Amino acid sequence: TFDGSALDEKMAGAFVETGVCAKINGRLLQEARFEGAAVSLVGELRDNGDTLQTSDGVEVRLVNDGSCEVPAGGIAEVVGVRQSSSSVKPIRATSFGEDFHLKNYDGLVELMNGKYADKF
Amino acid sequence: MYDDTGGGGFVSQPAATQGGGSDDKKKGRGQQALVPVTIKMARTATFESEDRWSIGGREMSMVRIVGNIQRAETNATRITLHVEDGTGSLEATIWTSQNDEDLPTVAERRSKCVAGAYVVFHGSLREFNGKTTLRVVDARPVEDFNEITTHFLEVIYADALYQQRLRDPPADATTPFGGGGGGAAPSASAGPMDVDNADPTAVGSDGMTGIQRGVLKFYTEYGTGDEGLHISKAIEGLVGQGKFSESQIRDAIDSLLADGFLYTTLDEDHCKSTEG
Repeated sequence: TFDGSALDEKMAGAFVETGVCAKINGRLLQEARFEGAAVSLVGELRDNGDTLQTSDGVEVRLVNDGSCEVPAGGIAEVVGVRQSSSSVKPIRATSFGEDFHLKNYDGLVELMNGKYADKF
Repeated sequence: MYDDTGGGGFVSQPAATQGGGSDDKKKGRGQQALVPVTIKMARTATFESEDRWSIGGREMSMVRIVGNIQRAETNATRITLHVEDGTGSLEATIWTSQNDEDLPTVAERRSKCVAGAYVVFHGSLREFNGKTTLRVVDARPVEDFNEITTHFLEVIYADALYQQRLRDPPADATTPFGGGGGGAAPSASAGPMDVDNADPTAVGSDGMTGIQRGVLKFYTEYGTGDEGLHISKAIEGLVGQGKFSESQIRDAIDSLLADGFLYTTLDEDHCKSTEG
């Protein structure tokens, strides 16, 4: 069976090196072009940090082997390696506070991945 | 906060209206200095000289970057922060000096710029060994994370407006963003002309009101030391000029601080201009 963990390590390492990840949402996570890629999702943490409900309301599973500290709840940005169309292995998780506007951020995500993608 | 004519103070006039005379030496670059950018954009900067550079053909003298600190290195003369914003990574250098020992808010702000923190940087770009770095003028930790959203929206907005003006330079500065009109009517526009003749509350083509411009100019001229100016001195001086009221001046200072044209130094009452 294919052991994806070596590839995940490589992608995580690439993110640390280059600082590049795709700033997306739940809808975009489903696209094949992000397969195995370093991605950033912002949303609300659920299930004690096992799930992230993204800025566009999609439930994403956080596949954490314990190497990344993820807060138990609240709004956060999770940067990680895409595992599947609905799961991500977290590299870093940053709390975004209680007053963060997820809808505004989601609008920004569409702009960053659409018309203005060349800036991001 | 946003006005369609000025681009929030971030838009340079693309047409070269300056004659390039010797008084331009100090600031021989595009008129409006501070531009919000992504690290990806900053890394494409081309350098004409050490302190003269442009991004996408657009000259600027100061950038704002918002990013996450990956790691920090400190030595005797500087702090080097490795910063990423998802679009790329960059080294941001804070040159420390013995004067800084006297500035507690600077030290406090700096102590919060640690690995894992999101930080708002204002600074100028430098080229070092073929790579672009940021020479930090001001760094403060993000407290309201909506600032991240706002910053990236402003990156888009400032660039889109600049591109539109390149295609279609306005005779006056009333071209609304997107060219479609509609939405809230922008306030009456005036060029950055003599403050005495213009309505000081009108927003000029550089995105500032006459009051903000006047206040910033005062700080630039008179707050030349590391501490800048105490707010009471600035108010005294500006009220003395007879053009603005104290409350107008205080509002202008708040706006200039929020937009990064002023930053606090010694304490909350001392500010310094990022220009000049």
